[in-house]
Amino acid sequence: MDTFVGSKVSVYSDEDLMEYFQNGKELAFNELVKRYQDRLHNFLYRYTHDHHDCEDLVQETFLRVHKSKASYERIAKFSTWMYTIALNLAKSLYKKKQRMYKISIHKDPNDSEDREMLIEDTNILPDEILHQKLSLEKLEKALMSLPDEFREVVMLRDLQQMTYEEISEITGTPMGTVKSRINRGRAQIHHLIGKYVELGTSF
Amino acid sequence: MKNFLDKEYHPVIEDYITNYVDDNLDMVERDAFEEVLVYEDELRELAFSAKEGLKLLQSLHTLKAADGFQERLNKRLAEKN
Repeated sequence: MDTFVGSKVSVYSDEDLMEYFQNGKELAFNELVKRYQDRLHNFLYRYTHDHHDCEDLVQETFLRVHKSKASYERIAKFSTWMYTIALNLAKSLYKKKQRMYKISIHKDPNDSEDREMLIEDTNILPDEILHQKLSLEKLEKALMSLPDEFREVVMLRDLQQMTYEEISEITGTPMGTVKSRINRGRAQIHHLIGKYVELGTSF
Repeated sequence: MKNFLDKEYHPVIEDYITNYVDDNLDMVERDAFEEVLVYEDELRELAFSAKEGLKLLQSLHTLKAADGFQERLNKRLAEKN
């Protein structure tokens, strides 16, 4: 492998950077963080719906990449390897959150002070903006309502622009099944909110 | 409510749906597939809905890491080492 040149860091492939990082070049790791920090936020936010949790998860992914650098082998694409780590972390957090929601939504029936409050909304939006905002919220909800195995492949394809082969590797699912799930996930989302969106303005 | 998630077609048909939605069919293939769609109601509904669903998904917001992300990461790395 050629000698690492710091000033050329942006032209190296992900796999080259990982190899340089394995050989002690921390600058190569920083470049990988730079390349993937936004993409990972975009992906993992759909599991957390909370910016703080999302950043934690992205950082945890990079911490694992850093810690496990020795286990990466160049036969795999770096992005495939890293997304496998990110997806496993996201799944664990998602399951944990689902358990928490089940506990927190119940109010105490014995507490007379525990009642619903009506708060005036001072953030009144014009109709068109409001519709757009609601449509996007509905879209996020429709995406979240898909079963896990459909949602994750749709997100990897349509939010991360990954190839079907990469998605198959990351999820450990045969490619035919990946395609079938993506087709159905997309169709289901349109079915869930398409009519709502058509009623108002387009996105 | 219609549920698209259960039925699965033969892998060749699934490939056609995927390539149709992704606009990867050449003109001859697309015409032939659309000819099939004219007579196959369920398949047509799935293919059209998947195409529309993709458009909706492309409208989702793109998020970015907050300012100072890398500095915070480096701090955590330093704490671990």
